[in-house]
Amino acid sequence: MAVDTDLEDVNQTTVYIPFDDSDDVNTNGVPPSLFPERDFQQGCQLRFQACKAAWGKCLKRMQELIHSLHAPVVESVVEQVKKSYTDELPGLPYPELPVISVTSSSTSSSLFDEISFRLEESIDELFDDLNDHFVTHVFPSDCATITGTMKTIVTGFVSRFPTGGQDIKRKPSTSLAAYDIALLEAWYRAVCDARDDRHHRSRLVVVMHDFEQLEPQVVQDMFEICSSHIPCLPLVFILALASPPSPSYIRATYPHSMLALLRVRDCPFPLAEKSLHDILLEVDQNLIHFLIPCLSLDIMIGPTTIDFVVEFFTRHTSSLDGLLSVLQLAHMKHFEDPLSVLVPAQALGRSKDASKLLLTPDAFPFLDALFARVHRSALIAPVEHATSWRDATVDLLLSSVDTARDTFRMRVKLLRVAFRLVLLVRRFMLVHGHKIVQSDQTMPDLMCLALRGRLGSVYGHLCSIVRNLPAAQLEDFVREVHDFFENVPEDVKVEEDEVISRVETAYKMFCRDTNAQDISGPLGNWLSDYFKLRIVALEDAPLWDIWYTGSTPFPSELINPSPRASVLAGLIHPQDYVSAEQRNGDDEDDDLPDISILFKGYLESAKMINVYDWFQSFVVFLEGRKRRVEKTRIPDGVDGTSRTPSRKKGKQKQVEDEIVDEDAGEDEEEWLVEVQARFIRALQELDYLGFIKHTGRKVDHVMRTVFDSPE
Amino acid sequence: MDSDEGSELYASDVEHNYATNIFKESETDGLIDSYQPSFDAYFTHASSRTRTSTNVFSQRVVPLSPEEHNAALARASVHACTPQVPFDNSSFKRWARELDEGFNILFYGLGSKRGILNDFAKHVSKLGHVVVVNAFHPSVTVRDMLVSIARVPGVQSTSTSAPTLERVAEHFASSDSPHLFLIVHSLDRSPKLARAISSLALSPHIHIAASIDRLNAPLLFSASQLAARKGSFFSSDRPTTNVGYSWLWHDLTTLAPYTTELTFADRTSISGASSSRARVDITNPVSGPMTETAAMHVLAAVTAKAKKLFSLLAAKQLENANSSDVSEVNSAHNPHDQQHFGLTYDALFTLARDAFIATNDTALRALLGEFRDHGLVVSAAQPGTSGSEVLWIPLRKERLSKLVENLDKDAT
Repeated sequence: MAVDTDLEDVNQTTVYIPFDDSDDVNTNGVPPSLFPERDFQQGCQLRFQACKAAWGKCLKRMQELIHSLHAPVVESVVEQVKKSYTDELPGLPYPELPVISVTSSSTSSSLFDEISFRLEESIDELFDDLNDHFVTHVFPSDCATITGTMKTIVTGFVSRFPTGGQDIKRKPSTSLAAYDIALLEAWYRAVCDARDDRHHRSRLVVVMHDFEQLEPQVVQDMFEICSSHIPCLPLVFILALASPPSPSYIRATYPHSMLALLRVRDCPFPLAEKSLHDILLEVDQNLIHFLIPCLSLDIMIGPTTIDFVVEFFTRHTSSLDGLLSVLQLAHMKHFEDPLSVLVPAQALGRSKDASKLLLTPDAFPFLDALFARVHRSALIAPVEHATSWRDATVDLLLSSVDTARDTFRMRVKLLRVAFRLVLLVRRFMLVHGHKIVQSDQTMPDLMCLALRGRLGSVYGHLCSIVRNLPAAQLEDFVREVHDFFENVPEDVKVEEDEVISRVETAYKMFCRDTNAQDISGPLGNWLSDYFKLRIVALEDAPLWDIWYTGSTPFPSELINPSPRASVLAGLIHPQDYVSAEQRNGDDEDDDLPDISILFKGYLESAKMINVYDWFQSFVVFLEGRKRRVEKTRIPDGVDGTSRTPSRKKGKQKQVEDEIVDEDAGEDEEEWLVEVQARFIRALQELDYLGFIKHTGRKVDHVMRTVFDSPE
Repeated sequence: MDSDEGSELYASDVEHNYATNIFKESETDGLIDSYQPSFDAYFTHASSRTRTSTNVFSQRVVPLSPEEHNAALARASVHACTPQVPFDNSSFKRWARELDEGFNILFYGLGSKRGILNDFAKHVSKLGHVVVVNAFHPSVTVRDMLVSIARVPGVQSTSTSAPTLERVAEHFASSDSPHLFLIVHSLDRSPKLARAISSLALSPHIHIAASIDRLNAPLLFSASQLAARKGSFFSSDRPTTNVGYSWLWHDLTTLAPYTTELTFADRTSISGASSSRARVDITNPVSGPMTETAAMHVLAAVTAKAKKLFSLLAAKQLENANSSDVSEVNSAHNPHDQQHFGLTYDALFTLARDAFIATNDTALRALLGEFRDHGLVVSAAQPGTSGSEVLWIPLRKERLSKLVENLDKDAT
């Protein structure tokens, strides 16, 4: 095949393989099941669809949340852009260049998409409030030089027709240079004429991404140039900063002379403004907002994943995008399990279709597994299933799954309400100055505890405070709890009528001026009973693992890998990667590939390595191995085919037959060439991997770059 | 010599210091096998003076010609241990699914991943157009990639030049566009390409599977670029202006040798694979070692007398090499420094006169001149003796004998 030869040809820099839609085999793209012993053919496809649907729901909800987080920032940025050049301080010696810095480290990068969308849309025509500004984006990679930067900015605008539309071609001979700001000025005049915009309302907005990565010298020149044109060219700069607003990066990096040209306005993203702990709380608000409604979504995220999310967010990237990726991966992983095909109600279609689907021979292992699970759980009363398992039909099985689903959903709902009440009580106590044990526990900590059913100490303590509440606070407390239960959904009210009626009683007792002690004591006990009943590990529910990721570990290496450790492990213990059958050596050293042998010497050497010494040690190692191999070969190798020279010292060697000696000499030569070639190859491979630095300080010495110890 | 207690005082005494260092090292090795963090190790190494031998690799070891190198490696495949890591193509579908879910995949781990990724490219060609980029190629450019992408029907509009990155991103952002799979080998070798790819990677119809080999390759990507995701939040029909990668990382340790990736490395130099010098210098072919073919070309162009002189020198050199070989059997893996086997100018002149090749000094120098200009004969002042010049042919023994054989055959 031509493609094959092209792919093998190293002289090709790129190879194009056309879309091959000729054969329909294997195009459905569904990966094989990880658990073939309890899966069925269509299961993969169905799970795949279920996963897409579940994630779609989750993503939609998450996007709404992020959108609502973005909204105030976007609003204020748009407002600032609108106000620029109109709302100026009187009496300035020269106009200032409006600059809006947006701290965006903890958010998703789509914030700027949103901003530019808002700035370019023109929907407010009714109020004569047109937002028809022009937006262009500048990335650090375009801005190595001032010419490049100016070119990016100018072409970003002028590539559009003044009257709309894209891709305008200019003759180089008749046009100004692409980096000339005068070109932009001319274009802007044309735009204003075309739009009949006498007041020059449209702003030219430049969004500078990753502002910290830009070269300060270049940026300084750029601002200098732009500020000399601003009255007639209404440029507005939006800087995307990753560093916190204080200490300000802009003020720390740029000289006062440049800052004097700018009028900097900060629009910090709310999250980054606060301390790390607050960020956590904010996100938890999200998580709570998100995860709690997510329970009514298809699957529920378990504590290990939440732990990972929090750790990843606080320690690596505080970005909501990262959060989304983690959740998506959690979904993808969850739907690897064959049973997860039952996540949505009626996943297999109507009951008739379902039984048709499941009564095919290849679905039997799946049915078996499902039946075993249902059988073990308490879904069917024991007396009943002792006799009736024989007439268990697919319908019956599926209906018990439906029961389990409803049970699980209800349980989650009740847990959620109870957990929110715990948070409410906790907040109340904190506000009123009560000392709470482990008050430093963050929201995700509490969430994980609740999901694991280990919140006992927390609510136990809270309830004991309730029992001793002074009368004045008790009244507020009871009212708050009462209001809380007023607002829960109807179906929860039905389930929780016991505790609700008790709170009701307490509430009424207040109206009758009963002694506070008489109320607080029982109320504390009632709440404690209620929490004990509702905050239990979800793993106790029947068939819980269909809807709940539980404590399954999150595949964190997919987004937070350790490539360095992997390369080192490959060099030091290559045998670990090889399958067991292939491993034959009793002596580990005999299995080492060349690069690992060389790396051994690397680890043992000092900072600088003399390549010749390294070569010698490599030779010695290979000689040793060769001798060992020969020794083992001699007993069965007497037929004389082995012509590798024996390298014994002593005179008997010299008196041996001339011909043998010559052969030995030739072999020796070949062997040396071979060793040298292998050494160079291994050395260059290490170089390729970045283990060697050629400093040139000493002739034919190289420097180590890695100082990790082998273990 | 000083006593042991005094060793601290004589820290400047290098010899002594070295001895104590060795002592200390062996002590720590024996006593503590606990983990030493890499920064500690770094400072330990940095604080001590490195003692290495004065041997110089490039002087003591004659570099191999490409032919020799390849032949030796072909032989070596018998002796050298090349472990095979089991790999199963069923992962392809899983990867394809991850790509479909909106992630891009980055493979890391020791060993060449080219074979597997090429197979994967063939696998995904059933799902969309594929462009394979060999980023390890020293002359790969962003333009090459764009020209290849332009071969996807519809991308190239009217102009004949390669489309811009923006044009490509725009084309694949529309919802009815086909899927494009970009397979990039050794993305870390070309940071320019990595940057260009960052502006394509978030396009919903472009899927990227790339491999990295370098230890520090993750530093190529900034945190915000790593976290960026495909697709815009608030409207799906507008192309996102963001740059980023959205990688999912997969460990793909193959332990396979980097033969293809190092094709362009200079095998004759120890720094041949380092990125700044990765390109073989084509403009200056003399820099490489003398090869057999090169020698044949030179010899074909000289006079019969010169040829005779050459075979005379070669014969003497071989003789010397053979005699020294026998005596040095045990140290035979010392590199063959050809200079030891060379002839002094005076000895060569005597021989040449005896063989009626050159009767005077001028004639001999004229004959040698041609060889010297082409690097076929090298000369240096003989160490030890004052002023006398030593001449030799910078070819390995077996190469030289083969050459002489050919020469003799031609002569008869």
